[in-house]
Amino acid sequence: MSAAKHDFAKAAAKALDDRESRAILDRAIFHIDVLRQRSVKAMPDFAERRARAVAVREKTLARLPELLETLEARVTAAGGRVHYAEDAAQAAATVTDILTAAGAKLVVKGKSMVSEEIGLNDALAAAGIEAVETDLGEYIIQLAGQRPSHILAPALHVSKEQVSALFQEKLGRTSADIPEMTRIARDSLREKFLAADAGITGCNIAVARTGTVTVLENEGNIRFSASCPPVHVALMTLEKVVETLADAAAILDILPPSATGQTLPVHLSFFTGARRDGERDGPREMHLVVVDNGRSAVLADPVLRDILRCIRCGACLNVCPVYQAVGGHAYGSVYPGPMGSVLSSVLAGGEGDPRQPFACTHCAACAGACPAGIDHPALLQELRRRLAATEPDPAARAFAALARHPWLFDGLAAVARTVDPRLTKTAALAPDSPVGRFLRGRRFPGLARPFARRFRKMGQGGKS
Amino acid sequence: MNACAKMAILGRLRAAVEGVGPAGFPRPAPAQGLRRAGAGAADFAVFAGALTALGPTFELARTPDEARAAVAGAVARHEVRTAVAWDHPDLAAVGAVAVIEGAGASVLSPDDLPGRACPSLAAVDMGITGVAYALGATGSLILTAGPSMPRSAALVPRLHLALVARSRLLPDLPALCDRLAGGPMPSAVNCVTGVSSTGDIEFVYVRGVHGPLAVHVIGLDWL
Amino acid sequence: MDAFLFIPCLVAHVMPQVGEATARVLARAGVTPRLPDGQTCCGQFAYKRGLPEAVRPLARRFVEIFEDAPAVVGPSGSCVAMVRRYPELFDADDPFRRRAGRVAAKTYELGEYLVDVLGCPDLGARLPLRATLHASCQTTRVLGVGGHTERLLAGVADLILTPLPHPERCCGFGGGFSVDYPELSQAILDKKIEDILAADVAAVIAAEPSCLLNIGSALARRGAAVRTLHLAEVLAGEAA
Repeated sequence: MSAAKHDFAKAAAKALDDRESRAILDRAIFHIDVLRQRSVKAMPDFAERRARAVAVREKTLARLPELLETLEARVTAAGGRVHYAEDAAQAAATVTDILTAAGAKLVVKGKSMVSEEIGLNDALAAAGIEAVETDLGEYIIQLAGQRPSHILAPALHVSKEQVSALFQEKLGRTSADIPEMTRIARDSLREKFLAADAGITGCNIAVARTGTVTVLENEGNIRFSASCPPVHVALMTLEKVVETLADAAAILDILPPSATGQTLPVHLSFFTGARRDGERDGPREMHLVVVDNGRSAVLADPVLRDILRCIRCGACLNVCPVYQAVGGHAYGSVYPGPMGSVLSSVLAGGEGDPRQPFACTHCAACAGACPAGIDHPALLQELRRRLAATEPDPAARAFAALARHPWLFDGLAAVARTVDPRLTKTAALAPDSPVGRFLRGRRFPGLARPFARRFRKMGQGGKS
Repeated sequence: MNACAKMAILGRLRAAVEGVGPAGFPRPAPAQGLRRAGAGAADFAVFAGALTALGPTFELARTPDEARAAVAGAVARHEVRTAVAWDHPDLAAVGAVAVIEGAGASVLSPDDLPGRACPSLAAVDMGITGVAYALGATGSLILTAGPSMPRSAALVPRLHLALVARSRLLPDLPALCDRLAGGPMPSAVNCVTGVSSTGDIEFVYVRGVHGPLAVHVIGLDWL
Repeated sequence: MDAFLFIPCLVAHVMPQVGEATARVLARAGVTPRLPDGQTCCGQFAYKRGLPEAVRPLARRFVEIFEDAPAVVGPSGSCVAMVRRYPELFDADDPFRRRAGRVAAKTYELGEYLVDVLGCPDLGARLPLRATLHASCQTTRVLGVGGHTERLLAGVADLILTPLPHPERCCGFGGGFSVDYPELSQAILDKKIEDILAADVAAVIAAEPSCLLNIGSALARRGAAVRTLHLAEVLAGEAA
C-alpha cells in the first residue's frame, strides 16, 4: 500500500526523546496494570476463568463460518442487516454507503479499534459526513488530530495541561480541573448525541444464537450512540462471534478484570436488532458490518491463528517493556504492543514495520498476563522465523556455524581475549557492528580464561 | 448487500476449519464446563453493598408507604420538576407516578414521547424505571427495552431513579445470561453497574460522564 | 551421584567464576560435577533471530554430549529453556526428536535442580551482604522456577535482601534485541538500573548470566558501586 515502510527503530528513538510523554505514559501504564493485578489476585478462580474463556474462544474459532451464518440469520430476524467486508476499503465504503443512503450528516462514534483499522473517519470526511468521536479519550485524540496510543485508553499519553489547552483552542471553554474538563466534554458531546443522524459502535462480543451485539464501556457514550440516533451501525471483526450468551458470560468473566481491573464495567449493553413495533426509541435501522481484513486467512495458519483468540483487553500492552518505553504511536500501526506486533503482521494492508516481531525481548510478560491464553512470544518467534528465511543475517548464521566446532569457537575466543579482551577496539572500529551497538552505554567486563581450564584445576570434580 | 464478500470470506473460513491441518481444530484443550450461576438467593444487603460502592445511593422500603415516601424524598432532594416514567408493574405497585405528581413535578409517560425520544428528554430532570433484574454480586441494574420501557428514560435525564423489587434479584451475571437465554432477546438489554465514569485524562477517576449524573435505587422488600 | 555441567558460552568465556561456583555448590550438595568436552553455544542467539535450522546441528551436538548424563545442570534459565525447545526443532519421525526430549527432560536450571531434585539441601551458605534480586524473565516466567531462586536465597545466612519495586521487570537484554534496538534496550535497562540504585544495595543477584552481563555492564559504565552476583556465587558463599 504505502511506499515507505514504517521504521519502528527510528520512531522508538523519537518517542524515547519525548521525556514529557514518557513520564505520563509511565505513570498511567503503571496505574492501569496495578488495577489489573489487584483484580486478578482478588479472583481466587481466575485460572479457571481463563481456562473457560480459552475453551470458548477455541470452540468458537473451530465453528466460525457456521456461527457467522447463524448470527446473520438472527440479526436479520431481529430487524437488523448484516454486511460483510473483505478489507478496510470495502468496510469503510460499506459504512459510508449505509450512512449516505440514510441521509446522515452528523454521526456519533463509540470507541472502536476496527473503525481505526478501516480508516473510517477519513472515508466519512471524504463523503461529507461529520463524525464525532464520543469516548473522552478518542474525543481528545480527534480534537488534537492524533491517533490512539493504547487500544483501551487512547489518550494515555496526553497530559491534563495539554487537554486543557486543547479544549480552550477547540471548544472555547476550559479548566485546569479534570472533573470540570470532563463536564465540558459531556456538555459538548451531549449536543451531538441528541442531534446525531446515526451512531457507530464497535462490538466486543457478538452472540450468534440471539443475534446480539455486546459492548462494554464505562462512560455511557456507546449506549448513547446505539440508543438515540435513528441509525445504529455496529462494526465487528469476524472472530468476535460466540455461540451463546453463556459463552459470552465466560468471556465477560475475564475481560473487564484484565482490561481495567473491574468485575463489570459501568455499561454492559446487549443490542439485538432494531427498534421493535411499539417502542418509543432505539434505532429504526440497525446494521452489523462484519470485517475480515486478513483474519480469515490467519484462521488457516496453524501457528498464528491463536491471535484470533484475542479479546482486546490491552493487558499485554501494559506489561510489555517495549510498549512501556515507547508507547503506542511508535508502532506506526493501529494495534500496538505484543498483540499488535502479531496482528499487524497478519492483517491485509500490512501496516507498521515488517520487522516488528524482532522488537521484543522475549520476556513473556504478555503471555503471563493474557486472559485468552495467547503465547505471544511463540507467535512472534514464528513470525521471526518466516522473516529470517528472507534475510541474510550473516552474524547470527556465522555464530551458529562457529558453535559447531568447539576448537574453532574456543580458539577464536582465545584470540579475541588476547587482541581485544574488552571488545573496545572492535566497538571503536565498527560502531555499527552487533558488538558496537551492544556496547553503547555498556562496559563489557572482558573475556576471561575459559571455565574448562579453570575447572581442571579445581580438582574437586572430574572430567567426564 | 455484498454477497461476493460474504461468499469469499465464509469460503476461506470453511476451508480453514474443514482443512485437516497438522494441528487440527479445535486445539486440544481440557473440557471446560461453563461457570454455573451463583447459588442462593441474592439479598438486598449484598446488592446494596456492591451498588453503593460504585456511586449510586440506596434505600430499602419495607412497605408501599415507605416506598412512596422514598420516591417523594428523592424528588424533593434532587429538586425534580419534570420526570419521565416507565409504564411498569413495579411502579404501579407503588403508585410512583401519583407520588411524583403529588410532589409537584410533571410526569411524561412513554406514550407522550415523540418519534425521536432522546432530544425531547434533554431538559427532563428524572427518569424513573423498574428493572428486569438486579445482580446481587455486582450491584447491577438490568434494564430491558420495550414499548412501555423506553431506553432513553434511564439515559438522558440527570437523575435515574430505579425501583427494584426483591423478586427481581439474581445472584450474578451468569444467572442473568441463563435467564436471558430462556426467552426472546429484547432489542436492548443494559446492564448498568454504578454511575458512568472515565479515567481518560491521566487516569484520574471521574464519575458522571454521559447519562445520569446520579443513580438512586429504592429496594421494594415486599414485592 | 553425578551431574553434568551445562556451561553456557557466556559463562565459559566471560563469567567463568559462575561456572566455578556452580561446580562448588553441586559438590557441597553431595553431587559430583562432571564437565563433558566440546560444549559451545546452545543456539539461543540464532534461535531468537528466527533461525531454528541453524540451531538444529547445535541441538544434535548437545544431545550427543549429554545423552549419557544422569542429570544436566546449567546456571542459566534462558539456556535451559532453549534446551527444552530442542525436541520441537525436529520432525516427528526424526529419531533426534525423542532423544532431544529425553535430554531436555533431565536438563535443569541450577536452582530448579537443587530444589526439585535434591530437595533444597542445606548448603551452609553465608554471605553478609545487602543485596536485591532481579527475577530474570526466562527463569521466572518461561521456566516458572523463580520461587526456587527465592527459596534458596532465603536459606543464605546473613544475606539481607531488599526487594526491587518490580523484580520481574525485564532488564531489556533480549539477545539480538539489544543489538537491533540499542537505544530501546538501554531505555528499558535504565529503568532497571534506577530501581537497583534506589534499593541502596551492594549487589544485585540473578539466576541468569545474560541479565547479569547486561545489568553489570551498565552499572560499570555508570561507575556504580553495586556488584552483580549469580545465584551460584551467592550459594557458594564466595563473596564472603
